[in-house]
Amino acid sequence: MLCYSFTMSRANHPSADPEMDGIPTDFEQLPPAEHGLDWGDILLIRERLAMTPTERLRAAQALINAAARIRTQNGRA
Amino acid sequence: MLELEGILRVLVRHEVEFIVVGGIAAILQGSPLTTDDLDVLYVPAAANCARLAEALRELGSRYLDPAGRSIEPTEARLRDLKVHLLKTTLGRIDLLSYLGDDQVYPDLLGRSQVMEIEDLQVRVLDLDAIIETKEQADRPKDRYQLPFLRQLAEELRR
Repeated sequence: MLCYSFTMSRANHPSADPEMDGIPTDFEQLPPAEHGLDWGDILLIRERLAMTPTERLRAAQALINAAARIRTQNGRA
Repeated sequence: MLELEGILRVLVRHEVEFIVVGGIAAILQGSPLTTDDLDVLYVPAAANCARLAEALRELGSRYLDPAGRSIEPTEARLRDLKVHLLKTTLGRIDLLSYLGDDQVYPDLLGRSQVMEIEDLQVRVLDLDAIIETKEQADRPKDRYQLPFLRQLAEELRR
């Protein structure tokens, strides 16, 4: 019989770790905002807004470079 | 792979009149979504097409051709044809002479802003205009981006 040391369930089990208070750790804790985005998406937008246009372009370029590198490594260039 | 700054640098050096539109404009305005090509609205006047053709020659541009032929964008093609989907040595670039509901460069000039990218001055479409063009295009990929762009607009209004 297989034994797992973690809980095989989709339910979120509240953590006893007080440092995790207020940090969303399940989809139901990520209510959609007005335009259907969740809290994580809105944080991403705020991070981008804190950047200059040059930094935004560099962030996009870094993502493009990383995706291209992974595609090449996996024969999908 | 797309080398954004490299393509922009060549266009600026050749004094091409253009506005960055589409996904890269959205990124420059603050969108966290990414894209694999650069969309540019250009002025289809003869002098600008000549400068653009020179820039595209430097970038080794060819049309994306399902038949696999190697066809160059020339000044005449840039003047006479509306939309040019190109591959270059620095990645994909889509050149458009109009957007959405037949809006051309002069219509959108007042709805764009000059941004500084490194030492370059690049004109970029305003967020509200990007949203409008996405609403008009209304393809699945546009509908996917709209919630991010609308939320971004809301964050900017706060």
